Amino acid sequence: MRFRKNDTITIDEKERLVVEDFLGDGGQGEVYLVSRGGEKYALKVYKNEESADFRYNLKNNIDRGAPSEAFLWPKALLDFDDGKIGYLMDLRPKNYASFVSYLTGKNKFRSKQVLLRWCIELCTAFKRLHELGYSYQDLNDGSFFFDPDTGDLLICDNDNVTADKKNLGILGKMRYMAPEIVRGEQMPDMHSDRFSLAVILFMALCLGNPYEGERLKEYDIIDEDAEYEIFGEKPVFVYHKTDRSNRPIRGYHTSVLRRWAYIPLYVKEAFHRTFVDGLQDRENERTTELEWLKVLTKYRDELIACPYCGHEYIVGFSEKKKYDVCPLCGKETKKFCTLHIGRNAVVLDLGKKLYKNHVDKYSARYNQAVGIVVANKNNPALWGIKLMLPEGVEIKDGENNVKMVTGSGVVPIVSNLKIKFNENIIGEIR
Amino acid sequence: MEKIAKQKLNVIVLVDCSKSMQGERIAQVNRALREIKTHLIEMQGENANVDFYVSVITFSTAAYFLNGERCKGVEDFDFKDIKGGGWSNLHLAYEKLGELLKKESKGGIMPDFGGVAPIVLLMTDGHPTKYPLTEEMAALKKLPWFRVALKYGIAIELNDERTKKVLREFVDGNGDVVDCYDAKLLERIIKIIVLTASKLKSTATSVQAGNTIVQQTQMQVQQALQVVEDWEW
Amino acid sequence: MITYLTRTATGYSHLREKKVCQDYSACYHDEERTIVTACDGHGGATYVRSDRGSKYASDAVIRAFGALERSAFYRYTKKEICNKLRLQILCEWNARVERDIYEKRFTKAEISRLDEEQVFRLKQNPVKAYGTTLQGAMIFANKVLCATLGDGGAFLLRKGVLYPIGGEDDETVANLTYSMSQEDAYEHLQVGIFDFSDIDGVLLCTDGVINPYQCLGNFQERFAKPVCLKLQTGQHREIADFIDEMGCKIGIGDDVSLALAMKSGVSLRGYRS
Repeated sequence: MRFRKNDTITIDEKERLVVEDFLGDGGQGEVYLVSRGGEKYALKVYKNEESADFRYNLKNNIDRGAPSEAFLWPKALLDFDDGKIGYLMDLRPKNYASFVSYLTGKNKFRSKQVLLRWCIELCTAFKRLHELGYSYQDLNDGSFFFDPDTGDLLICDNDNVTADKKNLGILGKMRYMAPEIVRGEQMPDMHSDRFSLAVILFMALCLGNPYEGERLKEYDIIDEDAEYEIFGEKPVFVYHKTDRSNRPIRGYHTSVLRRWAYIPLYVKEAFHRTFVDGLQDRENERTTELEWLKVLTKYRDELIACPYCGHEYIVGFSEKKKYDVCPLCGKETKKFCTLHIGRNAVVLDLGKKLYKNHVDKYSARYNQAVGIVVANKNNPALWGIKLMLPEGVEIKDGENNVKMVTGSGVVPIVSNLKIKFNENIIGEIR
Repeated sequence: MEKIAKQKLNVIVLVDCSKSMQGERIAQVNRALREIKTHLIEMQGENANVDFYVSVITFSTAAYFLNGERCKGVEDFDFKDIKGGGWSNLHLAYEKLGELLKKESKGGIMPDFGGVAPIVLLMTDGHPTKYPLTEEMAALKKLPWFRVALKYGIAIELNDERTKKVLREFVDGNGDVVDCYDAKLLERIIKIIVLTASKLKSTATSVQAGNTIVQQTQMQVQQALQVVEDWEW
Repeated sequence: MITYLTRTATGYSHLREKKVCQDYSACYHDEERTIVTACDGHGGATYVRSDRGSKYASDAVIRAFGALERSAFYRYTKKEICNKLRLQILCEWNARVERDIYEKRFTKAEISRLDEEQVFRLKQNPVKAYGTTLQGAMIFANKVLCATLGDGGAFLLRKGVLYPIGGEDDETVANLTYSMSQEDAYEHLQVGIFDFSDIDGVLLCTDGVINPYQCLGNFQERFAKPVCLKLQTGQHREIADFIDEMGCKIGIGDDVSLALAMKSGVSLRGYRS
């Protein structure tokens, strides 16, 4: 360990950092809890001397700032006397749990809505990262954290974010790497990021790896050679439409089997495109962040909760199979009204939200709520959409009666009601 | 033809002997238990599949195994009269029940291999001193033998919704709660429940503790109780 | 030299209800290895094909164990070998069951005794109809390998004493048991590897054999010891007859299966009462 408790580190002869605790040890460096003038931060110190390129990249990133709030970004660079470097960053707030702990079952998202919110945040963060010309390159499950109650996202380990197509020598973690990277044919870039993003989304929604299935039994042991074959050389998606040789193993890959069945068709298609077509054509056939956002918000819009057992499932607009009864308890699905705005169809169940992207076609704010379905306090059978808009809306009912509702008022949920959010956006409840 | 061994069918009775049970109520219970012993011995003789074993847990301020015996073959069981007096610490009875419903190698009375789902009868005239019994109930529900047991509850001259709730929770899933509106009927109700259940379980062709036994018992007990009530009018 | 025996008999409650035998036991033997199995298909109404399930389980064990090469013990750790075998047995069973579901749809006769809800659940998850327990053991390369899932018994024999294989399971009471048809079957399927030099043999049975004896001591003294003695003295016929009698008369009505494999010529001292 480089530092001990109560050591003092001086930066630029101005500031003093006091080492309070040792937080952890990664492959590249050690992380300490330090305090600077009463505030607490995390300090990462690299074990080995890093290249000039690396330092340049780090400094550049620090200067440009974090792409969004979701990134736990380096704040200040530190040069030590022995040529090693480190950086300061904010501490990770205690309410965040690691994505790994979700995969192992230790922590759960409060509900599927919250899980989807996290997924949407993830896609948004990556979209932003790529828009700014960065690529992540070392995407794996250890970098992500979630708040189990709100679905907020925190991305750590941003050391290896670089400009797209530049590479600092880090390849990534085997099961998350795009096959062409595993095979050494390409260096990580935005397209391989998209592949890894799809893997994370698959793991979040299905709790399994998209390439781990029956093929596992062909290997005596899953060592590096086996992993190379399964994830690099001949990856076969577990739900490949025509090649059924690698399906999840019944009795072993329980979660994937259970969950895939209830994922909407359009989400399955998005996965299939990336994991099958995206192997050949890495630039065009990997589902982009924007496409994911459209698909995931559509999924979220369709979710309802069974009033008897609380199980969340989709209404099934685009599905072949019917969701007439709750898949968990078998009781009949309640009838809901749906708000159609543009291409969106939001099923109006209690607690469901309207988001900025519903009322503004060009908005990228998929997680900013502008309305929520509530029940009337005096008559719980009456539902309405409580608005959270800066301006009011005009509503017109089936008999053409027009009324104004203020930006913080409640729109009653009745059939054939039209809601005019602005000149271009008119929604209808059916 | 002699079997390798007859299977054990455990009949476990939890008797509320708090102060309010003194007098007619506890007298009815005592009479019922004595008669049950006689009938079970007879049933055992006619039956090639099972031997009956009886356990009685009495609870007032403390919970005890009657005669200090956790479990005895019905022929050897000695019913000493139970006397009423004290509070109604049902939760202690639950703890004692939990001790019984484990494998013998773990300190209980159920066999290590095989075994038949036991019959458990809980009778009380109300107001458990400790309420709610969430912890104790949860501990019992963890025991597989409790979950498969055929359970009956008798509410003795009870108007208290809380106690009825406790009884319903106890039998949840695998049994019924019977109302005994008049203490004079208590003896007959106890006998009907125990003997009907015992008869059905002991003549079951296999040791499967399936739903059919529960349903059949419920039906037959209901029918028999119907007769009791009709007669009283 | 290994002496071995497997035997299955239908239980009297099955005979009475005209149900097929749902147990299955089998063996495989060559100069290198001996494999024995005893599997118990579940008896409830919805398990309409558990007789096939138990056969597939037995076949899966024989196949998976049979494919193991001696070299594996040098190349991999015990844990790696066990995990690999667990996966292989499960996949093999899955494959057989799925093929059967695909090739042979459920007939009206099969579902005639089920109510609407049971039929619905069966259609949703047809694998359940094949539910079975699994006990299998192989003597090979001076080791004993044992696979176990669900109730029934799997024991190592040493000087007349039975040593249970597989962890203590408090959830297996009455007719609750783990099953190959469970969603998380892999978690409950155990495979162990033991050194054979110190051991006399291995005894597997379904719960119909062990339940009448109610406790281990009783089972050991009144069943295991006499049966092992008979095996050692070449009285295979007598053992088979006793198992048949257990099934049709003196047991608890359940199907019975026994699978036994021992070194020939062990000291009989521990086995005499």
